[in-house]
Formats: sequence, C-alpha cells, structure tokens
Amino acid sequence: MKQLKENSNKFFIRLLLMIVAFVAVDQAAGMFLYYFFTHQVSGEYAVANHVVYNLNEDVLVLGSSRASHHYNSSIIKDGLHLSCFNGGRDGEGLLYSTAIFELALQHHVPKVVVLDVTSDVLSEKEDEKNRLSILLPYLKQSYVIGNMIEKKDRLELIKSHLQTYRYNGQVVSIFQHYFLSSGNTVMGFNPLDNKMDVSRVSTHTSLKPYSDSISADNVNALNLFINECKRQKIQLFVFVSPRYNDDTQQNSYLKLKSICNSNKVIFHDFTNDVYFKNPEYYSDRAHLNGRGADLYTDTIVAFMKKRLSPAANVQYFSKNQEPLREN
Amino acid sequence: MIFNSFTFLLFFPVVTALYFLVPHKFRWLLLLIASCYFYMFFKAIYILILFFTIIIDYTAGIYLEKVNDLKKKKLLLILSLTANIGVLAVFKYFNFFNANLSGLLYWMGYTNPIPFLQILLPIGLSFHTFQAMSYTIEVYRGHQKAERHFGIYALYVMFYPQLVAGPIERPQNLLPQFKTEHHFNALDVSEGLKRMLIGFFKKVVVADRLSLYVKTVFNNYPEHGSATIVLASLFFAVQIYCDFSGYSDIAIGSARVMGFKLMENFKRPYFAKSISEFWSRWHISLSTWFKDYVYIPLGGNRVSKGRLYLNLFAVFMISGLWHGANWTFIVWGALHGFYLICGMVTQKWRTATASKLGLGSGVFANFLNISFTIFLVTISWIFFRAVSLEQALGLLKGVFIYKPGFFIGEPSYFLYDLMAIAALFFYEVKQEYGLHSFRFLHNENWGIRMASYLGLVFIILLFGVFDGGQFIYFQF
Repeated sequence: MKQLKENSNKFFIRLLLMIVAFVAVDQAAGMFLYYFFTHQVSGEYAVANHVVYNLNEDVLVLGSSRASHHYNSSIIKDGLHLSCFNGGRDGEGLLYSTAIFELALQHHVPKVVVLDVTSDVLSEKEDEKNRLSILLPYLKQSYVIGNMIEKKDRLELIKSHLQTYRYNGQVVSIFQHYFLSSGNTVMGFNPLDNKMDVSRVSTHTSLKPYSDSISADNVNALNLFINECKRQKIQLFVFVSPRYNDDTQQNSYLKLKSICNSNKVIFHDFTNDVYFKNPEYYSDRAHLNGRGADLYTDTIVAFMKKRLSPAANVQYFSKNQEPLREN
Repeated sequence: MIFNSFTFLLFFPVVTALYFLVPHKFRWLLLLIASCYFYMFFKAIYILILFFTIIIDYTAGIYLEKVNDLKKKKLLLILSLTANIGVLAVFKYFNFFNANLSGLLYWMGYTNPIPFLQILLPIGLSFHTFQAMSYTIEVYRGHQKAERHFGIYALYVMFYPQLVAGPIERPQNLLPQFKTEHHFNALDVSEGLKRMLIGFFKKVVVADRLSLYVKTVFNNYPEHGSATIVLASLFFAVQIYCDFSGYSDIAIGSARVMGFKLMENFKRPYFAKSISEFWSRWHISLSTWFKDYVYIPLGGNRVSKGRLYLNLFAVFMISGLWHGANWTFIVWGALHGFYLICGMVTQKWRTATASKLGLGSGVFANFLNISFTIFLVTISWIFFRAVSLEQALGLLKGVFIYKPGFFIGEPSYFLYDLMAIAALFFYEVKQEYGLHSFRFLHNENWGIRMASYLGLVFIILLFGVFDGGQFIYFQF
C-alpha cells in the first residue's frame, strides 16, 4: 500500500512537471513560429500578412482564388493611378475576406475595395467554415477573428489557447516561404499560365437551379463588409468575375444582388459577358489565365474609372447619388 | 462522441477521475452512465435499440442457464440470435436487400411495392451486436455463467471505450473485470496514456492526413494517372490501418488507464507474409469471432477439402457483408476468401518452386511474400473504399491500364504524408522485429521519456488533421 502511494505520488509529480514543460514549450514554440510566420517572403500567408500588417495601398482586392488570379494589380495601378494590392486567397470565401479586411482597417483605410465574389458566395457551405482555421495565427489581432473562428466550431477558440495549434498544418509551408522566395505573385496578383483544354470542359453545370440554402453567417459577413466601407467612406465594387460556365442560377446570387442593391453598392456580373466566353482566356472553367486576367483587369479598370468618386473615398455613398448599375 | 474530438479530451479525464474516486460498488453505475452519455452523442434515441437487445440477451442468458432441456436451450439461443440479427437486418441490411429486390423485379418487368426505410444506421451496431451474441453463445455452450447483475451485463455491451468500434470482447475476458476492484496504478495509467497517444498519432497525423490525398484522387479517379491511383490505393491501405488500429489503441489505452485489459485487435498486419497470416493480425477480435462462432460450427478444418473451401468462402462473404450493406464489401470479402483458397490450393507448388529457386526462406523471400501480400490486400481495399462496383472497376482499370500523369497536390501536405508514413514504418519495424535501440516512449531515462511524450503531443498538434471526422469503422 505504501509502495502504491509512493508510486502514485511520483506519477502525479511527474505529470505536473510534464504539464508545466508542455505549457512552456508550447509558448516558446508559438513565439518562434509567430516570428517565422510573420516574416514569410512568399506564399499565400505572405499576401495575407501584407494585408493584415503592412497594407498601405489605395486599392485593395479581396476574394477567393478568382480574385487572386483575375486582378492584375499593376494594370489597376497604371489605369487608375492608385496603388493596388491583391489580397485574394485560394479556396477562401467571404468570411475570410471580411476577417482580413477588418484586420487591414486597424492600421490603414484604402480608398477603394474590390470584392470579387462567386455566385454561391452566400450559399451554406460547411467546408468554408472549416477552412477558417487558417485565421488562427491572427487571433490576437482582433476580436473579429475570434468571432469568425467560432463559426467553425465553438471549441476551436479553446483549442487555440495552445499556441502551436494555431500553426497546425503550416510548419513546412512557413519555413518554405520564409527561406525560399517562390511563385510569381506581383502585388498579390497570382496569374495562371496554362490554357484550358476545351475538349475536356463543358459549359454545362450539374448545379440544380435555386436549390442552395442561404448562410446567415455569410449574409452577416457581407453586411459587415459593406457597413465598414460605408463607415470608413471606402468606395466598394462588388464583381463576379468571368467564368466559362454559368452558375448564376442560385438563391445566393439573387440575395447578393438584392443586398448590393439595397446598400447602393456597385455590383457587376461578368459571368455571361460574351467577350469573356473565349476559352483561350481560361485556365479552367472557373479561372482566367494570365492573358484573360489582363484583359479582364483592363475591362474593370475602364468600368471603375467611369464610376470612381472624385476623391475616390468620399462621395460615393452620399444619399443623393444613385450608383450606376449595368445589369 | 468520437475519440478524436475535443469533447472526449474533457470527458475522458473527468470519467477516469470519478472512476477512482467513486467506491467500487458504484463504479459499474458510473461507467454505465458515462457509456450512455458517450453513445447518446450520436443519436440519443438509438440507445433504445441497445437496451432492447440488452434486455433480450440478459433474459436469454439467465434462462439458458436455468433450462436443462437441449431443445429448449437451442430455441432460446435461436430467439436471442434472431433478435440481434433482426436488429441488424432492419437497420443495416433492409434497404440494401430491398434495393436489390427492386433491381431484380425491374429486370423482370415488375415494380417493387416494398417501401424503403428512412433511417440512419446506428453507430457501431455490428460491433455491439456481435459482442452481445458472443455472450449468449458462450452461456449456451456452458463456457460462461449467466450474468445476474443487469447493470453489469448492460455495461458489458456498452463499455464506452469499445462500444462503437471494438475490440469485440468475449464475456470471459470482460465481465469478470467489472467485478474486480481496480486501484489507481501508475503503470496502468502511464501505459494506457502512451497507448492512447500512439492511437491519436495514427488517427490524426497518419490516417486523416492521408485521407485528404485519397479522397481527392478516389473522388475524381478518371482524371488521374495510373501512378496516382496506385499511390492513393497504397495510401488508403495505410489510412484504414491507422484509422482502425488507432481507434483500437485509444480504446485499449483508455480502458487500461482504469485498469481494464481489452484484447489486442491488430498485430502489424502489413508485415504478414500471407493472406492467412494477415487475418491473424488484422481485426483479430472479429476474425476470431467468425472462427469461433461461424467457421468452427460449420466444421472447421475437419471436413473435406471442397467443403473447407466452401466454408472459408462463405465466412469471408459474411465478413464482407458484416462490414457494410453494399456489393463492394461483399466482393471485398469474397476476394479475401478467394485469396485464401488459392493460397491453400497452391501451397505445395509454391513451396516447391520457392525452394528450387533458392527462395525458401530468408530476408529476400520474406520481402517478396510481404510485398505480394500487401499487393493483394491493397487490391481488395480498392473495393472496400469504392462507393460502387463501377467505381472500383474504374479504379482497377486505372491501376492496370497505364495512363500518364502524377498528382501531388499541395506539396507541403504531400511531404507530411510521406513523413507520417516514414514515422509509422519506423515505429512498426521496431515493434515487429523487437529492436530495442532508439527507445523513446519506453526509454529507461525519464527525461528522454518525457521529451518523447511531449514531442509526440507537439507532432499531433502541429501535423494532425483535426477536422477528419469520424473513424471509418464507425459506419459498421
């Protein structure tokens, strides 16, 4: 019995020591990884870090991979005479864009924001919430990030008290992009260089028309995004950039148009723009290639020029001014 | 509740701490309540199905012991087994057989008037049903005394570590353990926690990481080249092993922490040198269940060769059907039956040829045997993973008819896959060949041991996939 008690005491002392060591190593590793994380020179997080910590451009482009691959920042800069940064990110949706927009606003207010959306931007998509874990490294920057991450799982915030968990699945990528400058991103714009194989692509979609359900979280995020623009007097353009197949028959699309309309936000859909139905401009049916992106950016620059408010940050939301609408 | 959920990380220490704090005479109640809570996380109402079979088997057990007339005993056993199999038939197989009947009637020009059931399969149904059946069979055979304590019998069926995915325990091993008072034992706790840690590693770092690649390739196989499909199939072989053996490790480990010793379910199956050896290392609790309760009652090895082959084939077909109500699982089972029979038929010829070529034994011969066994098992896993026979055949076509192209996906994730497999291989080789150099979790130096635990925890935190969801075997 005495032996048993001694063993138990020894066990609990060791367990306690291990917990202390665990907390210490976790904190140290968290700081170590945070340094490398914030100093990446390439990759998707380098783009996001620029938006979150260093944004100083006049025009900010946000959205998914279609934003990242479709908006040539140099063309926007030359065309509008406003500096531009493309903060689009592969696989991410409106929740992510809203979150990093909030973080950017903490230190810089751009004059113009281009939000690229897809027709299903307001549809309920479970995987969109699952991907919000990529925001964990920014958790201490703003309470908004915590609110967003909670949408994935209410326990996610508890887990995020572990510093190392915040960099789950990122370690190799962080070191790769810290030590190696790879990719061809220019001011956040990441052109695709391949050409779509037309023989393997159909313009048909398997989408069941108007079968999607609307995500309340995404609607709230869009409203938050628009209200921040109003509050900070940022001119907002919401674009659906071209795609080879038409996927607009969705409730989300109707809701998106309705929200933009009621908030007097400039909204334009290029999905069915005949000019962009040329397969030569595509990398796949959802993404333009570099050539298509340059032509598309030229088009939106011309479009924006006509609608840019004189100070590019003030009058657009004035009560008397009716925004121009093209579709 | 699933083991790889955050909720379980709260549930487990609370239940374990209470287990040691509560007097022995109330522990069964604590574990039963905890097990009900654990099960009800999935679909609370389905606990009634469990109670239905528990009441039937508990009553059957008592009467089986009381009754002396063999005919009455048989009748009682048949009633109990029918109730258990009936539950399986309704919840698991009804829609499958009905769909096949519809197909057959359609082919004959009729329509099937029987409606389909709109029900979800209760989680782990096949596991606890088989465990309950082993109890009544053992009582019938006189190998086990009927359990009079209803709560303890219910706990035997519902013990949360092995409730939803095994190991499928035998009453002789598990029931007495509920009656023995387990004192806090530092060795049991530390060994149990180590085992759980290894299980978590297998599940979230290896299985769920590989599943990302496997899912991408299998869901879009016509677009991928042969090398990609071969790699995805091999990855799936590792994924399913780590998914299931990881679950077993966590189950065995969490029971061990409280002083319970569950049976081993896996013994490094990919080191098997033949299919029959594979089945002595893979899902041991199920293969021994089929051996004891199906194969041996059919005559075992004491029958003619033709009958033996027929019995083996039938057992594996049933095993396939046990895994799932789909033709893909039946073909998977049949394939293993076929492999085994071929192995037996060609045994003499293979031995003679191998010795003629000087390959009778030795490292190279072992390597060839292990590789060929992995090849056969991986082919069968394609059927297991595929959602339909059409997809399985499409994947096999992709494997055997060369198509160029190799898909890596996100390079850093691919690197994680390779690192995870390398770590697993290192661990398994050490276990298989008893290599005692490079001891980590069992090092005599406490400092190295602690660094190893911490290292493993951080590997799980940094490289694990925490959205991987349920264990594959839950659906069975």
